[in-house]
Amino acid sequence: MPRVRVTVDHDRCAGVTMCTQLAPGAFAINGDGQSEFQAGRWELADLAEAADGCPMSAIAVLADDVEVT
Amino acid sequence: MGPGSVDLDDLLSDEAVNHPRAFYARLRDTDPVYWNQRWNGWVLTGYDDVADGFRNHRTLSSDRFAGPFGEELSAVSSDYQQLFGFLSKFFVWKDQPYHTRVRSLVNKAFTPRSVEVLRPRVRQLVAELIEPLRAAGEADFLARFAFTLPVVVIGEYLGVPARGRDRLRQWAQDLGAVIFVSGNDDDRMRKGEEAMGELADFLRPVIRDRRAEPRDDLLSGMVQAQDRGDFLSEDEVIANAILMVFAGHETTMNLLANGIVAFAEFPEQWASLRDDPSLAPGATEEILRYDGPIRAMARWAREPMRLRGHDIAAGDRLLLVQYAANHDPARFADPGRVDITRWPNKHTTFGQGIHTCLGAPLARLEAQEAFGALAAQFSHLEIAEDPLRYVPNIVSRSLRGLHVTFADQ
Repeated sequence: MPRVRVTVDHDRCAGVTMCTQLAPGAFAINGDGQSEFQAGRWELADLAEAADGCPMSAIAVLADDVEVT
Repeated sequence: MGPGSVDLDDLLSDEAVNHPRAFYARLRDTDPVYWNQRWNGWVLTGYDDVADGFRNHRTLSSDRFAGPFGEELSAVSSDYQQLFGFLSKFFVWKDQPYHTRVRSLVNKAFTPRSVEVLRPRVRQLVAELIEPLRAAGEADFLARFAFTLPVVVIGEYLGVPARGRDRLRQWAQDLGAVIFVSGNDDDRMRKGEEAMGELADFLRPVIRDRRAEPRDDLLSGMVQAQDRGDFLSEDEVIANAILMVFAGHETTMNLLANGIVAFAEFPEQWASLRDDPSLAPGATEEILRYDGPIRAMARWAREPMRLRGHDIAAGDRLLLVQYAANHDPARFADPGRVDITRWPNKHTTFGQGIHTCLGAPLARLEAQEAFGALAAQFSHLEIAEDPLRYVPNIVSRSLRGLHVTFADQ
């Protein structure tokens, strides 16, 4: 299993919620309307979809320090 | 009213239309949640309230076919069946779950990565549009550049046949007049009805062709788009294509024109961009903030809510004034100054939350390419309109014309 690191840049996130649809369970919208990565169960392919589908380019997914796209 | 006084209820006053920063600051200072008697709704001008308003899609509805907006429309909708038949399928004017269903099906085509493939073509179009400006040294930038670029880009991206592109401009204008202007003026609605009918008749056979023989364009993409067995109906594809034409047209046009005005006002920022083309993305964000193409978006309250001491009743209308939020000194330091290196620059021009502008990545790309190439080509911009006049409109920030002198020294 690769070591996966996910970041959501809150200077960019607009709370569009595409990530919560593309990677169910991996992201949640906090009280400020910002997406946050959730520890737990997710598929790496879904995370990549979420990063790719984010209209604000706010999500980065790194597997073993290499950006997943 | 005495001389020098300003009617805060008049969203179309000279100050509101031509000097929005002053007008919205006055409103914000009076009450950031202001009851506007004439508009018959609440006008929100503080950053946090506007941003929260956009995110609160459960309480604040975008549905134009229900609530107070629906009542207005239902009075005229039977006279304009084409128009309202398709407008009612615009996902921007819907709430969940319909909104989210359609948005999910079209989102992929407008992600930053997806639109990036258009950059070389946009760059080429920009170069072609700059050439006559350079040759003449003076032009109406609005008509000769800003109007043309977005409509060509979205027309090509959609896959609208070339023979329809000139008509596309007229249709986009006629529909924009219905969509961006409040009130139901007969002549405008009739033109909108005609434009909608013609556009639908024009698109329907094209969409059927794409279903039979898909190409590498957005119409084919929408015909083929599937999400867990769900797909768009033919009328939904038409509605979305029409939405993209008008939404991708007027707004981007105004962004480009307003940017030229802002850079003429802050020549040292133009010089910075000219010196360092990598600043084009930041420059674009700052123009979106400082003088974005959208002033405000309307919502209505599905449930009562309390905001800054005011009781907002179910069925009340709210105007979320993005232009005011973008100039709120509580959020942006020195908001009246253009700074293309400003970061973070979380303006509200594309909205926030689930309705955040679908075309934002494409608008950004077009503006980055246009501002970058224009700065590289012309060291000096001089605005030849005095005074600048804007279209009286609550929703859009739209110049009537923009004659500019371009020079390179």
